[in-house]
Amino acid sequence: MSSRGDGFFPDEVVLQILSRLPMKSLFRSKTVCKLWYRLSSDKYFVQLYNELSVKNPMVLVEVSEASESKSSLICVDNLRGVSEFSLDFLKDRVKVRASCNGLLCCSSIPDKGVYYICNPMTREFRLLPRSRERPVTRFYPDGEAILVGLACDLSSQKFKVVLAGYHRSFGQRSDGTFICLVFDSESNKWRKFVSFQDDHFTHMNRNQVVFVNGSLHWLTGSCSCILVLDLDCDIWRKMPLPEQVGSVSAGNRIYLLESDGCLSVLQISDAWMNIWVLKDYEREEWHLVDRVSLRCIRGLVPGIFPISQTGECVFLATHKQVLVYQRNNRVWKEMYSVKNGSTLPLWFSAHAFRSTLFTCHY
Amino acid sequence: MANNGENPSPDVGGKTVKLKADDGEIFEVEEAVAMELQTVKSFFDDDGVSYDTVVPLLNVSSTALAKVIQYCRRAVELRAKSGDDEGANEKAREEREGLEAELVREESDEGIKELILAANYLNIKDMLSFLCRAVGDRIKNKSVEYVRRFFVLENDFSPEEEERTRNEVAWAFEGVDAD
Repeated sequence: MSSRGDGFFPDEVVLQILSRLPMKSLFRSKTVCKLWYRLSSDKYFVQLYNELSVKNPMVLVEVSEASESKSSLICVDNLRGVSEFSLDFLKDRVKVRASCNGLLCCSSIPDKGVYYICNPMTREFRLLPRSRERPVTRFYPDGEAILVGLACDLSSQKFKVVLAGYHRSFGQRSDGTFICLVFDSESNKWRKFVSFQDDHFTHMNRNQVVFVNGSLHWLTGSCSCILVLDLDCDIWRKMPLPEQVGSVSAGNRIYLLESDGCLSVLQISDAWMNIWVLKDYEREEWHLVDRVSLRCIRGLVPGIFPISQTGECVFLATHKQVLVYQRNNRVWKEMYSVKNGSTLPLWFSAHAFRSTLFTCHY
Repeated sequence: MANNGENPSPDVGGKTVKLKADDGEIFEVEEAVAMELQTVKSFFDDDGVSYDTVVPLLNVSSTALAKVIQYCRRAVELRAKSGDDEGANEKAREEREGLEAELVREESDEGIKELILAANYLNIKDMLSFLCRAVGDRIKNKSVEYVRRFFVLENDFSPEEEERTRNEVAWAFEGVDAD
């Protein structure tokens, strides 16, 4: 129903316009008038904004300057290119550990065991209470959790944080038990459960945790299967990889990403990148959705890692560049490249990201 | 396709629909194109409404309606071109994006606002979507005062409320255009 009492456009049109604004502009628009202040916090609007942003995959990368031993963050996406990114509002030096549906889980660098959940686009953050069950630093071998997972449910605006790792008993050796600490945003409490695992995890395995269908997923170091944590019942299980992935060797690597809400495995060999998507989660049926020729980027193949994707494009990172591959017209494009020599490769701390209005407040 | 806002002539033999703008001007349009306008589609979905009935579009000016029809006609053509062929699909998609960009580029602020109202009233989802994105692009770096003038909105915050709200989102004001 068009009501011209409050301005030129009816409310439903205003929502359509505001939902397409970049986050900063959206927040400025809250000061236009009371109606707009209300509209942008409206539940329907938040859902609309989040649905639109899902189509814009982003990559968050830590760029460290060799000369300055300081690092900054950048954000790369198709719509707006490269933009500076800051977590200064946390007022702490942090490392990004996991990214899910617009929220980040960051650990404090000076204070071990201190974790923040934040929405870097809206600048909201929440300091997680320390777990009282057991000191969080009792993990083996270095006091840090091996696996850090963030599970954010967009529709309910609730999230869970998972810290998991082998337990270090008093004598400083691992006793084989695998501890899992789960933080629930609703109760604002940690809970703990114990299981037995025998996997190891590479750096990329740990960075690329995927939350779909109510569960967190990690590739294991042996690349033999996917480790799944069902957060509804706190159970670990294993899921098979696509049959055709075969054995993994130096020239044949696999990575776990999300693709439009589904689990996806990307396999990179000398000349090809195969993309599988788990279209039927219950039946565990993998579909090979694309075979991408890597001829154009031949020289980069040994050091390239896929970071973020949708059905339309794949973002990858090398030591010094962030590239995007558009699947519909098979075009490769360089989105970002490091100017000076960098100490750490870009892929080392690159995370898939998207901009949402997920709120992390209690 | 020459069209200076004049009544476009329909294909011979195809079914057509008559649309009447707010000033009484009648546009005869191919059925497939008319059905892009969900409001028109709903009008005929009603039992007993014959296709000969003139659809009254009281909230749409003839200028806006002419542009809407031109866009929808082109969009229907492009959709017919794409199919299973990936290459043709991609080309059609690029052409549609070019069409949208051209439409937006040529419009003044007042023109684009009028088109948005028309696309909203006529319920044309794709058209409303790219028009809203275009307006968003035009205002995204503008000052709050500019936005108020553009959308014809009054500042109904008290001075204290306005200051409080501004402080809440102070970080969003770094680097904004002056008016």
